[in-house]
Parts: sequence; structure tokens; C-alpha cells
Amino acid sequence: MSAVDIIEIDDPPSRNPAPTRRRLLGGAGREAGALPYLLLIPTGLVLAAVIGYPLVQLVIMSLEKDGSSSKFTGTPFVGFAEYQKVLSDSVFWSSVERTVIFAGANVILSLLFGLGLALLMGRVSKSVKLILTVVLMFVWSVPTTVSTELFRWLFDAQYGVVDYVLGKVGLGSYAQHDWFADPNQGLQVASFIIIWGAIPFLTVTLSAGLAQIPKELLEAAKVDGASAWQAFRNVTYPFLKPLLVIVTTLSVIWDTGVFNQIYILRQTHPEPGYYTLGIYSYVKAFATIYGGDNYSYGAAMAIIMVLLMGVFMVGYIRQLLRIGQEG
Amino acid sequence: MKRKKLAALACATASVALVASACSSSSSSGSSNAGSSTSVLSTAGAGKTINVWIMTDAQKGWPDVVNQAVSRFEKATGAKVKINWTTWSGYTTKIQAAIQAGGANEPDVVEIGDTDTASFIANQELYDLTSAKSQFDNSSTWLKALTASSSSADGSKLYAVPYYAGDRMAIYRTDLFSKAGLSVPTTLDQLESDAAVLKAKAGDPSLVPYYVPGKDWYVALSFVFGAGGGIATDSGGKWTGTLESAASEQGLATWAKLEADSSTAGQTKDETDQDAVMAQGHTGLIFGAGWEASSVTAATGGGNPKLANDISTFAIPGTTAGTVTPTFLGGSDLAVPANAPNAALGAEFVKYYTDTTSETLLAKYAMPNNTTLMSTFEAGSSANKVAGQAAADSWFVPNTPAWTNVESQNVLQNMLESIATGKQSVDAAAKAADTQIATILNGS
Amino acid sequence: MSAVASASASAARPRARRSSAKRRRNTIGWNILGLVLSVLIAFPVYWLLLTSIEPTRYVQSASPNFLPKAFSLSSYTEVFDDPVFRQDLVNSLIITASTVLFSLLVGFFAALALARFRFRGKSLAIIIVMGVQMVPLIALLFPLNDVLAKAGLGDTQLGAIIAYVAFTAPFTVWTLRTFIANVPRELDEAALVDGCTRFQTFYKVILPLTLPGLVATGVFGWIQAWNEFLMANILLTDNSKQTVQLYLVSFGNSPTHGADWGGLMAASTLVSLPVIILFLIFQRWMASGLTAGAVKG
Repeated sequence: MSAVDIIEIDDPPSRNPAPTRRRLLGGAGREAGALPYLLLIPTGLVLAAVIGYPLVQLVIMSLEKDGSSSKFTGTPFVGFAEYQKVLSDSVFWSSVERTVIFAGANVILSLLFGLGLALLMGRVSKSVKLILTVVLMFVWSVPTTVSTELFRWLFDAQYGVVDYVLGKVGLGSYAQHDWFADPNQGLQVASFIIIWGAIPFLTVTLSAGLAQIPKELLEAAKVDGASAWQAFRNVTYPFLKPLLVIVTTLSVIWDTGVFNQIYILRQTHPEPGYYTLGIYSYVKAFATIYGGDNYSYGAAMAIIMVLLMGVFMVGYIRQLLRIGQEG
Repeated sequence: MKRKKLAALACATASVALVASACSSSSSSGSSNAGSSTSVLSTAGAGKTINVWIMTDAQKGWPDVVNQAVSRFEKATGAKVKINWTTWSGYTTKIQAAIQAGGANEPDVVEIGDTDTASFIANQELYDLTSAKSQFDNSSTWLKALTASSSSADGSKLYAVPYYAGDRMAIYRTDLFSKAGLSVPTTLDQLESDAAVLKAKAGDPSLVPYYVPGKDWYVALSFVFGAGGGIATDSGGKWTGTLESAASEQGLATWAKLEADSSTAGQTKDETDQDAVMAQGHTGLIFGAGWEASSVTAATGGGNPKLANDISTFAIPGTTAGTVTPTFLGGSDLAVPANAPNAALGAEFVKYYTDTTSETLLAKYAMPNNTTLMSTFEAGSSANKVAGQAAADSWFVPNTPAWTNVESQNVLQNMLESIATGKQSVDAAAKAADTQIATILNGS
Repeated sequence: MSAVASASASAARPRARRSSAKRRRNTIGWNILGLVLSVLIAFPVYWLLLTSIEPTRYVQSASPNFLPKAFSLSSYTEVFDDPVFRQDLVNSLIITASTVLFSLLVGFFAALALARFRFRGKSLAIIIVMGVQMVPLIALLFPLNDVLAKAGLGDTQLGAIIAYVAFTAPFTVWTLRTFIANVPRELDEAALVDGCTRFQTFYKVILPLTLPGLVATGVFGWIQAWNEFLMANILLTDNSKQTVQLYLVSFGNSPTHGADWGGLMAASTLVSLPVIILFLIFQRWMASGLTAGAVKG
């Protein structure tokens, strides 16, 4: 894997006839002194202030009895009591199960659609590409609060377009069908919204990645008689892999924490059958403004969620690290 | 009874005048919220700006009320008022975060929904207004439910001031009712049986006689209270859910019947878009707030101006003729955060914004906070008249700080939806809800 | 991969011609598929636009009209004439543009460190950058508000910008890292050999070649910040500092009035336009990239 066919640099300045071979910023594969740390400082500071410090607070709250409001200082330290309560809460575990299935399905489907569309964008003519792009940007720019409300109307049992169309095309049993009476079906509608909303991000990101693949390589593969799948497997995929890993990781994180698309779909009163972890922690803890340990309970639940997600994604994190070390 | 009320009012206004003047002459130098009677309110506002958070309802509905209160307050105190409009979406978190962070950006006045006030009080986040109560106009005739929500659970302390109220009534299609040969029902039984007549005779095959969304707990629980039931009772600090009592279940059954007979498609929905549903023209009746009667026929937001002459209202009848089903009295309170930078000035602004002048103006747009001005409100429209009369017989949620958690966990909505969709019997759903309510209210 | 490249030399001509005709036929097929998908994906947005131009229309109907029955821009003029909307739009533009610029700048540095260096603690850095995203935002709101208030950034747009940068950082850093890593190291070395300074190397070699990545992450950051509601609602309490997302919420229903769907849809269309315009401007840069035929080793 070491084919640098051509290196073209416009207007190569060649005033230095006998250059000492410096490596850019110390070069790869070498210890580079303090420079990389300096480069990481700005991001590190922002993350420490905005997420690190609050996260520490959250951990402290999760270990205290009355975390509902930090102005009540001196709240008793209760150790892992809240964690125990969360772990012995059957609703929590059923929410975990629901979240895993729900988020898993959403991640897989949205990635397939997103990647498919990104590949399609590379094959269609310019004008079709422009139309697709404008549509995707429109979809992307509609806030989930608005789009979820919109989908709720479309799937309304009495006056929704979906039931109307299904009724017209001969699926009479779906005329006036209530999509939300059965939570599993309601969650499928939520999935629909989530996937619809995720496609633009995935497509735009992945087509940016595809644009970086040298056309010569794909041409060569094609001329060489490689099938579309082989070309994808051997040329496209290796290039796209780092991006795929990151969009998958982010999709998992986002889809696990999905909130609006369920909360607003259920008109801000989600039934227990719709409890994913995001919804359950909100309904049970963060929406409550009164009460001894609700916030502590929520904090403990949030920490457990992070840990569960970490375990769940261990494979992906390893991938990230492996890719990261290649640099 | 009426005379007594008037006398009480006269007393109240007199004392307001007295105390107010006493207050302004001895204007304590903006000392912090010690809670002593002289410093609860303050008119020493020169050079200060108070930060007032009011819901956009006022911005859209009655900006003139706000403006006149602001200008009178600014003139009297020398302070400036900065109004920040807030919206209901996630407002409790917003207020609580601001109170917790404190500092210069903390609001001096906040608007709180009346079913949430108790928890702010219990969190000790609100400024104690008890000793200044008599200085607020009409405080002796404030609507009972709103006063209860503004006070500590035992009623001894005042932490908020009632702002405005709202209740529910039946909104119906006069044309369809007369086509079916129906007049306004006078009993619940009649209301129930009218649904079938309407469906059969109104001449619209796709008619939904009554649209009763399955999650509208404000309406559903009205039938519970109408049947003599209730949500929960407190004995010696221990709460017990009473939805499974015979009376409550009878009320729930009445509602379930109205829901099942009439509402084909609303089982899993709440009431927020029922006006737009009715505007589609295939609904005979909804239970809603007075303003919904006009939004059904409005020229914007999904309204249908063609129905302008066909919409009227009546109070939901009770079990026997001449009685009404009690209505849920919702509303808003105004409060001052305990650690607000200008708490006493904030309280003074609340005084202006809820005084007789302001509330009289407000009565053109919404139900005022007191019974004295109710006639002004009722004169506004026929829907107002129905609303005002219905308010005389109202119900409210159990006045305990943990109640807000029953709401945020959707206990009642979930119970009603499982009844409406037939997942649970009335009895099973009520029992399950009672268990949850007891757990939450007893704070285990 | 080098095998593929060398094999390309043996490409036979007739086969190429045949395949180009086939490709044209294929393109028509792909175009049709693309158009059908566009229509399907766009349908909800179309419904949104219909609602915004028909003030009395309700999005639901027993027999829906798929074409507008009336046309009126009253919802748009109502929104656009509202000074609050214009103020909030400006606020959103300031906050979002700053977030994107700040985030690209900060993220590019971090990405460079991850893409071009090996150093102790690199894995930890990656885990931290990625891991922070997993904490549910809703759990962090209160402490976040506290820390910003303590830092004197309570109720300031700068506070919101910093918060937004943190939440866009993971994607920005990693995506830029990928794009930088795809620029062959030999290119920067060649540039250095040719006497470019380090800065020039960035500027002339790495930056142009990572443009698609910069645009993609910029758009991502833009939309994240532009559409953010939860944090804005808590962090920005003064009306004069609020963003359009808070404005949109004011169209919802309340205890004293119903929702103004036409207004909401018009406003959210207007709010979407800057994103779309911006993207169309930057879009052609996204298709650029490694056109010079340089390949990652």
C-alpha cells in the first residue's frame, strides 16, 4: 500500500538547492515534543470548561442525596445508593433494552441510506445532484422540533396524509389507523423521523469523503474489470473507513440519546411504552423540579448510561484509536 | 354572601392605600429580603432596573396591560423595567437554572403555571410575600384555587400572587345540534345520549359527534370531581390515591363513555390541537377553553372562518339538571425568586401588575385573578360568561409540592390513554395510577 | 492498490467505449432514482411550505390537497415585519458564524496534532474528545449554566458560543483529522524540501486539500448551532440576546392561545434559508480535494 503515483505541486519554489530534510512539525512517527500538546490545548480547554467541569459536578450530584439544586449545599453524601436504585429499577432496564434495539436499528438504517445516497450522488448528473443537495439541505436545516410536529400531522389517524394515501392505494385497514396506540409502531414512526433527519448529515459527510478519493483509482479499478462491489470494497471503503467510524460512533451516540423525535411525537407526554433512556431520564428525573433526589437519580442514570454506551461501543472506540495511531 | 364579599373588598382597598403610603414614606433603602413587613415591598427604585420574566401570552394577548403597569410602576419607583418574554416550553428548568446560578441576570419576577408553583415554594426558591398580602389589590377575593397554589401547603404563607385563570366548557356546533333537533343538554346523561342522536341526524357521515382526546386529563378529571370523587387525599401527611374509589371510577366511566362513543381518532392525542380538528368541520363538540371557541373560526392557524356563526358554548352539565360538572381552574401566578437582586422592587411590580387597574384591563382578554372583577370579564363575550359561571364550581390538583412530579411523569394521561385505547379497564387503570400517585406524593 | 494502478495500463479500448455507452444508460437510471428519492425525501418539507403559504390551511385534512388552494405570503410578512424575529436572526447569525469559525480553528489545530504526530497520551486525547459526546446534554444543563455564570459568561452570547464549540468539537476534530491524514505526508515534505515554511505548507498544501472536510464540518457546525434549542433556552435569558430557535417556540400553543402553524412554518422556512444558501455557495468546494491524483500511501 505505498503508491504515490504523481505528486504535483503548482509552482514548486526551488530556491533551496540542498535542503536539509526537515520534517513538517517534527514529522510522523516521531516524538514531536510539546507541539502536539500545544495544538490540543484550545480544544482541551473548551471541553474541560463546558463538559469536564459540569461532568464532575454531575458525578458529585449522583453521589449525594439531594442534588435537585446545588444551592442547598451540604447535602448528605450517600455513596452509590442512587446507582443501586437505578440498577434495581425495572423500568430503567426495560428502557435500556428498548434503547438498544431502537438506536441499533436507526443507526444501521440511516447509515445504509446515507451511504447509498452519497454513492448515488456520485453517479447522477450535475442537475440531479443539485436537486438532491438542495432537498437534503432543506431537510437538514429544519429543526427537529418542527419536523417532528410535521410528521405527527402526517401520521395523524384522523386527518393525516399517510393514512389517507394508504387508504387510497387499497390498504383500507390503514385508513384512520392510529399509529401511536401500539408503542412499537409509534417508535417506528419515530425511527422514520430520525432516519429522515440523519440522512443529510450522513450523505453530505460521506460524499465529502468520497470526493477525496482519487478518480484515477476508481477508473483504474473499473477498467481493470473490478465489479462495483469490488471497487467499493477495495478502493472506496478503505478511504471512507475513518469517516464511517466517526459517523457511526456519532450516530450511535445521537440515536441513543434521541429525545425530541419521541417527546414531541407524543405531544410532550410520552407513555411508558415509549421510554428510551433519554425519555425516561427526563420524565423520571430532569423534568421534575421538586423532590429530594430526583436530580441525583437522573445524574446517576446519566453516568450509568455513559458507562453502558462505553461498553457497548468498545469495538468502535478501539477502531478510532487504531485509526488515530496510524497518523 | 355577595354583600360580605363587597365589604371585604372595601376593607382590602382601604388597607392597601394605607399601607402603601406608609411604605413609600419609610422606604427602606432596598435592604435585602429579610421578610419583615416593611421591606417586603419597596418603592426605592431610582437607578435600578428590574428583570421581569412574563410568558408571551401577555405579549400576544394583552401587551397594553403590561405597558400601563410598567409605566405606572416606573413613575412611582423611579426604577426601570426590563420585560423578558418567556415561553412555556421547558420554562421550569429555565427558571430553576436562573435561580440556581443567581447573579445579576437572575429575574426579579417570574410567571409560573399554578400547578407548578407549589414545588418552587417547597424548594424555598420564592420570596415570602405573606406580610404584604393585604397590600395586593383584591387579595381577599382572589380565586380560591389560585390562592391555594400561591400559598404554602398549610395556607399560612404566601409566596406568589395570582395573575389570571382559565377553565373549560363545551364548545359546540349550533347548526348541527339544531339540525339534529337537539338543544343544549342539561344533564350529563343527556349529554351522553345526544352523541348518538347527533351522529344519526346531523347529516354528516364522517361526523365525530364529540371529539374527546384520550390524554386530556383536565376534562376527564372534571367528571371524576363531578361524580364526587377526587385524585388523592391526605391524612396525617400520608397521601392516598382515590381514583379507584367508587365515585371516581364512576366519573372515569362517564368520561370513558364520552370518549369511546364519540371520539374515533383521538385516543392517543392530547387537547392541544382540538380547535384545529374542530375547524375541519366534522366535529360536533369539544371540551375546551373559551379562546378555543374563537380559534376554531379564526382566519389563521388552521381556523375555519366559515363556521363563524355556528359555534357556541355551554357549561358542561352536572349529573342533575341545574348543576354543572366542576371545571379545572388553571392559571398563572407571579412570583419573586427568593434570591432575586431586587426582590422587594420585583414584588412591588407584581403589585402594580395585578392591581385592580391592571386586572380590569386584563379581564378583557382572560379570566381575572379575583371574583370581584368577574362580571367585567363575563360581559366580554358569551364564552366568557360561561367560563365565569363555570369557575364558581372548580377543582384543583392536590396542593402538595410533589404534585408537579405526578404531572411530569404523565401519570394521569397514561391512565386515561390506557382506558381510552381499551388496554386496561377503568378499575385496573385507576388502581395502577393510585399506586403511582401515592408513591410520588409520599416521596419514597 | 498499486496492483490496480498498474493494471490500469492494460485497459483495452473497445471495452472502454462499450462501457461508456453503458454508463450513460446507467446515469439515466441513477438520475431517475435520484429524482424519485428527492421527491420522497422532500415531501414533508413540501408540506411545510404549503402550510406557510396558506394561512387558513391546517396540515391535516380529511381529504388533503396536494396542491395549494390559495397563495398568500402573509405569514412571511408577519414574521419578517416582526422586529423580534430580525433581532433574533442577527443573534443567531452572530452566534452560529462565531461557533463555526472558532470551532474550525480550534478543531483544525487538534486535528493536526492527531493526524500528523505521534505522542504520549494520544489515545487518551481521542477517547476524551469522543467520549464527552456521550454524556446526555440534558444532565449537564444545570452545572453548565452554573459554570458559565461563575466565569462571568452567564447570559452572554460568548458563553453560548463556547458551549456550542464544545458540542461540535468531536465531529470537527475527527473529520478534519481524517481529511488531513488523507493528504499524503509526502506532499508536505516535498513542500518543505522546496523551501516552504511550515506555515506556508499548511496554507498552500494541507488547507486546500482539506477543503471538502472544512466545508462538511463547517456545515455540520453551522446546523448544530443554528438549530440548538435546549442550551440556548437556559443560557440566553435576555430577549435581546436570544436565537431564532427560541423565537420559533413562541408560535406554539399556550394556555391562552392556539399554535400559529402558518407562522411557525414560515418562520422556520426563513430560518432554513441561510443554511441552504450558504451551503450552495460552498458546495463546489466540497467536490474539490485530491484532484492532483495524489494518493494516500
